[in-house]
Amino acid sequence: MFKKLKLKNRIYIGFIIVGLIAIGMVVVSGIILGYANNNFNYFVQFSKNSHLAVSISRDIAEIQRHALTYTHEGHQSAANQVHEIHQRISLQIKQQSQQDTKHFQDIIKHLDTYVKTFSQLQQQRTQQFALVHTEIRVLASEAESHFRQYIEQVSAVENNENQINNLRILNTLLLIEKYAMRYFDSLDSKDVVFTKTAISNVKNNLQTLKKQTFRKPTSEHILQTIAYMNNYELVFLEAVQRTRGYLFLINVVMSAEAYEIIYHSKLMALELEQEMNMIEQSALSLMQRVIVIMVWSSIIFLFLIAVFSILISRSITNPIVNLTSTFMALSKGSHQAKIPAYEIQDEIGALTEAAVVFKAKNRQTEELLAQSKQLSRDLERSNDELEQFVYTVSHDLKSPLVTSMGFIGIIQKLAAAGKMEQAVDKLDRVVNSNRRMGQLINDLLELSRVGRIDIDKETIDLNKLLESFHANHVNQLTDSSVTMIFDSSFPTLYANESRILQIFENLLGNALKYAINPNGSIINIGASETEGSQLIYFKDNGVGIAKEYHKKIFGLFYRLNNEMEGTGIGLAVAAKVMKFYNGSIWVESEPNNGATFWLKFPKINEEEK
Amino acid sequence: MSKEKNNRTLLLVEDNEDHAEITQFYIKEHAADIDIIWLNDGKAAIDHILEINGNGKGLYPWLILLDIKLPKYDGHEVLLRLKSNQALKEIPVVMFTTSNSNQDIETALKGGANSYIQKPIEPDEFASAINKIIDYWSLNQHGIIVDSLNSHA
Repeated sequence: MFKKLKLKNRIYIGFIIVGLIAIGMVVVSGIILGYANNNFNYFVQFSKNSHLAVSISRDIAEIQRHALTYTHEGHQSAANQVHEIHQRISLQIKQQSQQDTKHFQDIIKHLDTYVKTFSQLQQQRTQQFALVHTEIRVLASEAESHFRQYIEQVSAVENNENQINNLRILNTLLLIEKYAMRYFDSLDSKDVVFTKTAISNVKNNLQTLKKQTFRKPTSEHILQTIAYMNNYELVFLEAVQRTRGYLFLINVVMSAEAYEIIYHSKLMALELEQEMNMIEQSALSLMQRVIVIMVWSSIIFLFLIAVFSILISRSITNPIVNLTSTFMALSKGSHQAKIPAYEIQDEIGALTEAAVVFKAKNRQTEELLAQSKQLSRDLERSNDELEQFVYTVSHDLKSPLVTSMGFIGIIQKLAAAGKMEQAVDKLDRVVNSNRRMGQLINDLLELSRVGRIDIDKETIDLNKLLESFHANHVNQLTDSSVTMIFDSSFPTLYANESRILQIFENLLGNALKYAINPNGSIINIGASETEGSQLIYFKDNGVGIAKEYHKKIFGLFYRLNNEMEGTGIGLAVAAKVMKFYNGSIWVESEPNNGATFWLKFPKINEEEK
Repeated sequence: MSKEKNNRTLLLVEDNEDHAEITQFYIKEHAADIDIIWLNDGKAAIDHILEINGNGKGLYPWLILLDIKLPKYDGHEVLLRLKSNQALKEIPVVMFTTSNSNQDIETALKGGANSYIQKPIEPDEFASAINKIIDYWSLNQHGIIVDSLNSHA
């Protein structure tokens, strides 16, 4: 997938991908932590609410305590505390009551009722205080003073028994106040009964006294005392009523409200605890999930990074590894080393191009080496041929010299012996020998010329050439009873005309010497064609040539029959000429079945002429 | 002695007619009693030797003068065929040729030629070379050839 990219870009993209994956990891971690944070916020909120609920319970206990203190002690500071705490709770709830409004509303409602009730209590208590500490005391002291005045009035007239009775009544009168005060201090309802009993006692005694007394001023004091006592009883009962009223308020109404508030806050705390438990559970499971997700996402991201790293580094190293083995092969001189295909223009692309050039150089070197080897082989063969040539020439040239000198020696001996006629006869042999040596030298000269005149090439119409060749030899053919037949038409050759003619002369000469068929000699000349070559054949119907001589006959001075005329140079010349034309000559023959000489010319392009 | 001399048949294998005539002239001049059989190619020579040796005749040439450059079988091949044949290998073969190439000399001597003589150009030298060959092999004929031939018989 990276194979279309340049090397540098591939490396950059590798880093970018790894970077993107790392960023992905961070983002995923952030999202997960965000979830955890949300949960944490919830948890904190719930915790605060729970805390508030607990603190409300505590505050209500405190407010109740202060309310009781005020109720019993009547301290104004306690009442102030009640209001202060109420305000604090209200403020706290208002600040923090976004959630769970129902419970908070209930709490506020009950708290308001509580405080309202407390206000009523305060009112009641103030009135009771006024009754108890002002009216009751005034009435009591009035009653007491009137009764004392009565006692003083009657002390002179009354007997002791009546005086003691009057003092007992006064004492009871004083007890009434004591009982009443004790009640308002202790709020013990027994004291109310005592007070009431004492009052009715006093009233009954006073009624009795009223009936007994005659004197007007005296009874006036009694009547006053009774009137005050009646008033006293009424005021006391009202004070008791009021006391019971505010005690009812604090003990029943406010307690109920306080319990209500505590109940709601407890309920809220309970619910919050449950919710917090749930949140804790979910947070715990979320945490586990987070850990699992983090671990898996880390594994996946690391795996992705590993995969991309491997892919990218492979895409970088693979071509380098391939190229390395290619260059190893190239450095060993191989010209067949496989060069991996690489289309991109980067450093590896440049290396690949270098490898291609390297390979071409190797191939060139290989070819040059092959050419050089071929050249040295050719040279070697040439040397061998030259050596063979020198050997043959020296042998064949020496041979007529030996003959000539040999006969001269014989002639000398014959002459010395007086056999003059015999000596003269031998002179012809010397002449022939020398003539033959001259012929050999001429032939050798001719052979050495092959290649020199052959440079003059021209386009030869072989049809015309062979027609005139036939015409020139028609007498010779008739004399030897040889029929020459052209089997086909002939191609055009690009060669030296006189040289081609010379080859046909030699072939005909050989045929006339060696291939005469007593039953009528026939020579067939024809042409055929193969890919890249023109083939000309020259066929006789003579005795044929044994296979072992098929190569030898093209050697210099080689003759199948020494009795025939000739120097054995014709076919050697033909072979050399054909070689010069990059062609060849060979013979196909079976003994007693004629011989076919083949000339092979390479086809020449028009441009090469 | 004369009887033995009458038995001397020299086989001349030479394709050059002139050389053959010259050689025969000088042999006859030196030892007129030697019978000379002249054959002009190697194959004819081998055929002749096998013919006189075969059919229980057991005849051998006294000496073979062998040219190297010959039609059909050349001198080296004739030598090889003689020396590789148990019945014929004791026949003395003198290479008598115009060639003085080291290769020919080496091949001939390795092939078992008993002597290698180059045909001299000077007529006197030619005559004396022939004389030496005839004289040498006249002296050595008993020791080498006859005994060993008898041992085979």
